Parts: sequence; C-alpha cells; structure tokens
Amino acid sequence: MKLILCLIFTLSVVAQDSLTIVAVGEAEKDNDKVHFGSMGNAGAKSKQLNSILSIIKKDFLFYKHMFDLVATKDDSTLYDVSFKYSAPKLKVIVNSLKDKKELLNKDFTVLFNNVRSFSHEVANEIYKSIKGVDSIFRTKILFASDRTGSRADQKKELYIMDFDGSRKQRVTYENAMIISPVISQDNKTVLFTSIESRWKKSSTGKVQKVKNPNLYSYNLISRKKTLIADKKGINSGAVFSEDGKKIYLTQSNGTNSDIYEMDLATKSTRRITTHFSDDVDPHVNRDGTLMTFLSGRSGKAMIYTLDPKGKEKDVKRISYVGRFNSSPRFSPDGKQIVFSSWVDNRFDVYKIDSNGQNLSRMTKNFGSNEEPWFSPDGQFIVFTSQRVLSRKKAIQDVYIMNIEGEIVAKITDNYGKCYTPRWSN
Amino acid sequence: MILNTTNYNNDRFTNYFLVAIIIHIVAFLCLYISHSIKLFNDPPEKVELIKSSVRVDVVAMPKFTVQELKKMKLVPMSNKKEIEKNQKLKKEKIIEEKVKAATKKVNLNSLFGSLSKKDVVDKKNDSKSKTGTKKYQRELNKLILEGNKLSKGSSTTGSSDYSKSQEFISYVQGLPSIVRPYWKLPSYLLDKGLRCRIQVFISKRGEILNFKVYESSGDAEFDQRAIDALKKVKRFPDPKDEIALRVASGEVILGFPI
Repeated sequence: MKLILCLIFTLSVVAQDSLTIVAVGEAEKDNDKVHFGSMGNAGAKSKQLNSILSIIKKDFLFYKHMFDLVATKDDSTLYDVSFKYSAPKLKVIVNSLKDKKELLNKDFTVLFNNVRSFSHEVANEIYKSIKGVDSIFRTKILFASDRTGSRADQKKELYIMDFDGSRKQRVTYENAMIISPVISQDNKTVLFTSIESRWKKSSTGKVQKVKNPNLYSYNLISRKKTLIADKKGINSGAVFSEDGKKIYLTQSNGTNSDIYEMDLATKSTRRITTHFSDDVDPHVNRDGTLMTFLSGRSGKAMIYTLDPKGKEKDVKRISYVGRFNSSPRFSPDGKQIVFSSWVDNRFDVYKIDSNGQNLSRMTKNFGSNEEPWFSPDGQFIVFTSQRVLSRKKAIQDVYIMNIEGEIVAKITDNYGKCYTPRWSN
Repeated sequence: MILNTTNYNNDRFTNYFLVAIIIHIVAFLCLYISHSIKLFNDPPEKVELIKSSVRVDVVAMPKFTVQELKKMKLVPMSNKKEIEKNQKLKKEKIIEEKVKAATKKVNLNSLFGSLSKKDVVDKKNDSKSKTGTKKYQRELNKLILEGNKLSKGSSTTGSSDYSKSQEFISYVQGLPSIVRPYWKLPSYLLDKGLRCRIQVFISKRGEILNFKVYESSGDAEFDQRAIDALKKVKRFPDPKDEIALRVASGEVILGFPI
C-alpha cells in the first residue's frame, strides 16, 4: 500500500511539471573572418603585386556585411588566402580552415599593364571559391551625367565605370539630354531615351523642328546606335525582357502613358496596361513572370505589379503609403522591390517584398536619394544622392549601400550631377 | 436478532465499500500509469510556446532605417525597472518641489505684510502642513489597514493564479531581447534550418544558475553558439518572488531560434 502511495505521489510531481518555451528568434549573422597573406618578396614587381593585393582587399571591403578581414590568423579565422608569385604567374590558394579544405588553387597570368582589371578578376575568383557565386568585382555601372552641359544648355551623356567608381569612360556623344538608360543581360547593348529636337514633317506637310523623347539602342562593342521608337509623346523607361529579345517601355502616343511590350526584331508592340491613369517605369523580374511599375490609378503615384504576359493581368497594388513613389526595381531573385519615395521634402530609398510585405527604410538624413538599382548579386543597391549647397547649386553623386542599408562607398565625386545609375549584369 | 441483522448489513456495506474503493484505486492507477508512461516517453505535455509577435498596420512610411533598427537594442528589463524607479523618484521630487513652491508663494505673500503677520502665517502654514501631514498619514494608515482587511469584494474577474501566470509570461517574454544581441551564427550555419532548445535555471537575483541542452540541433557548433549566447548574458532581470521558484526550477526553455 505504501509503495502504491509513493508511486502516486511521484507521478503527481512529474505530472505537475510544466515548461515554457520562448523563442529567441533568428540569429544575427556573424561575419566570416578572412585572412589575406602577403605577396612575398617579388623583387622589381613587388610594388605592383602589393598594389594588386591592395585592390583585392579593397574589393572585399565592399562586402563588409559578410566578411571581416583579419591581419593575423586565429581559431576564429574561416578562410585563408595566400599568394605566391613566380613570373609571370600568380598562384592564389584559398583554404577553408574550418573544413581543412582547399577551395581554390589557381595560377593567374599577371597583367601588369592592366592591374585593376586583373585584381578585380582575382578578387572575384577568391569570392566565388568561398561563396559559390560571382561577386560584383567584375561589374560596371552605367550612369548619366550633366558634366558636358551648362545651365543655359542642359545636356546629359552616358558614362560607364567600374563598380568601385574607377575607370570612368564616356559612352555617348549625343549632345542631347539622355535619360533612363539600361544594360542588356549580356552587357553588350544599352537602351536610352534621348530628348532631342528633330526635323519632322507634320500632318499638314510642313517641316518643323520637333522635340521628343525618342528611344535608342546602342551597341557597346560596335558603337552602333539604332532608333527603336520615336512615336509622338513619351518613348522612355525601357527595360529588356528576360531573353533580351523584347523590351518593355512607356509610350504615351500623345495621350496618357501606358506600358507596352515591343519585339526588338519586328518593332511590333503589345499594350500591357490600359488604365486611363498614367502607368510608367516598368521593370521585370529575371524570369519575366512579374512586372513592377508606377501608376497614378489610386490618385497618387503608387507601386503595382502585374503579369506582363497578359493585358492588365493580375494587377496588384504593392505600396499604400508615401506621397510620391518612384523607380521601383526588382532584386535579382525578384523577391524584393527597391524604390524611392518623397518623404519630409526629399526622396529616400525604401525596400518592400514583392508581395507588399515588410516595408523598410534604407536611407535617412543623407540628402535626397533616388534611382535605386540592385547589384546583380542582390547584395548592394546603387543610388544617387543630392546635396543642396545653395539656392543655385546642388551636387548629385552616385553611392553604393549594402542590402542592410549601410553606405559602402561614394563612387562619383565632382563628375557633374550624376543620374540614373544602372548596374551591369 | 435485530442486532445480528444490523451487524450483517454493516459487514456487507464495509465489504462493498472496500471493494468499491479498491476498484476505484485500480482504475485510477491504470489511467494514471498509462498517462504517465506517455509523459516519460514524450516531453511534458504542459509545454507552452511563447513567441513575441507584433501586428503592424502600415499607415505611413517607416521612420527608422534598417540600420537604425539594427542598432536600436531593446532596453533590458532590469534597466527598465531602474528607469521606473528613477521615474518614481523624479515624480516624488517634482511633488516635493511643487509643495516647496507653494510654501514659497505663501511666504512671498507674507513679505508684504508685517513681520509679526509673517510669523503668524508661517506658523499657520507650519501647523497646517503638520496637521496636513498627520491627516495624510492617518489616511494612509487607514488605507493600508483597509487594504489588509479581508472583504467580500464585488468583482468576479481575475484570480491570483492568473496574475501569477501573467507575471511569469511577461518575465519570460522579456528574456529573448536580452539574449538576442549575443545570438550570432556564421554564414555556414545560418540557412541550415537548425533548432536547439536550452533549459535555463535562473536565480532569484537573475543569475543563470545552470542550463542544459533540452533539445539538441544535432550540430555541436550550433548548440555551442546558443550556449555561448547565454553565457554572455551576465544577468537576467530579477524575477518577482511569486515566480522565482518557477524560474529557478527550470521552467523556462529558450528556443534558438524557436
């Protein structure tokens, strides 16, 4: 009997046990520690090799939200990068110290006449061996600048530079106002709109000079320019389709603006939006299944998405706040949209999930920030930031921030007012 | 004869009564043991999962940037208590200052009168304040006494158990914000979808007495990172007396991440 009573008592104590589980939440990312070894003594080439190492390290500093570069190796160091120069080759070895595994062992022929390109190439190989995907180190940024114009004669031309702002080159010599450029998936063609005055025959047969925003394509290799659209009214904001055979653009045909799909081979168009309100600024995700655009159909400029394969198909409003929203752009995986919005008398950059969830602010107290565009790896956003210096003077430069909203670099300085930065692929 | 019948009836009743009791005990034990076996096999059934959640209706563009929100660390509960204490002290000070200001006003008024009048006013004020304090003290004592009295009451809502469990839940809900700043993972462990749960035993003074891995993630490094995060927390807030035993007996399990 005593035994039974003891058993009952023990069981009742166990039964009274209760536990409360509380979720701590997702862990924050701890940066991977990377150690870069020295180039060693390479005699006469030491200076140039050290400059290569310096560029590689600077490249990696762009990814400061992912990597910590450490001066000395310790137990917490995850990756070790070592170099060995034996003319004319540079051996680069990347070891994963945790897995005790060699990730990269490659000989590169050093291009001493093009150190910068060579360094970016090596940096990309190191990054790729660690992360398994390409970095931004070989990418370029296309942008417009008014540096050739004046207050009386405003002009904007296209320029291209390395992702870090080095090696700027002029692309167009249009002597016109060039807006909304974009680079094709294969990085060979550029689309841009030129606001230009051209002699045109009117319906009455009279020849007169007409100013119109016309759309052109420009081959970066052959330097050949082709007129794509010169319909009366807007021919602007063009982006390439996923296969590069079609483009999506805004055309107004003299009335309200709508979004059209154009076959580049036949120049035939298909209307995608038909709303009586203005629909502008299209951008499609990589697989071409979703388009984001700006529309005034709610009364204010708001961001919407639709299926570009149809006409007004599956239109969904994404933004519900903001006085004026502009330039919505997809992230490479299509999961997020970055855009700028007019708040507190200036533009700031915001980010929202493609389904309209998780609106977050990326910039604040940093001038007026517009024209955001994702890097091809989705880790960075390039944008322009304007500082008003006086009633008559303002500067506008191109900046890069990482996906966590941390400003990483200012990549133009004293290069005129810079507009519409577009990242290559 | 009558007596014999009564004895017979009593014996029969006692026998039936005992048999009934035994049957009940056996039935109870059977049920209890089957239930208990389940208890030993599985984690305790009374497991409650608390996950802080906030509903956000977007009515304007966000004020804070991603960076600002990242830097914005939640104020630990212990600090909150200190802040509350400081606020209370500040309030008391403000009241004292107001009382002083009021007295000063009277004194300033009295300056216009004769010195003797001033003395009278001061004395009056003194006596008033003294009687006021006494009155206040009496009222306070009365209130305390009334508060300690047992009364029927008129409300049927609430119970001591409910308030205790609320106290416990609010304490437990405050713990993640203290651990989270130290909860970090390297990139190779981030997207593995791992989960571990650690049982913590917290003393009356908020110190971690002990902890044990209640549910391992299967990855030793992941578990160690969670333990490291806990180790870096020097102190949790002091649990209130009514929940101190529950907190010290390891009723709290921290889920990394859930």
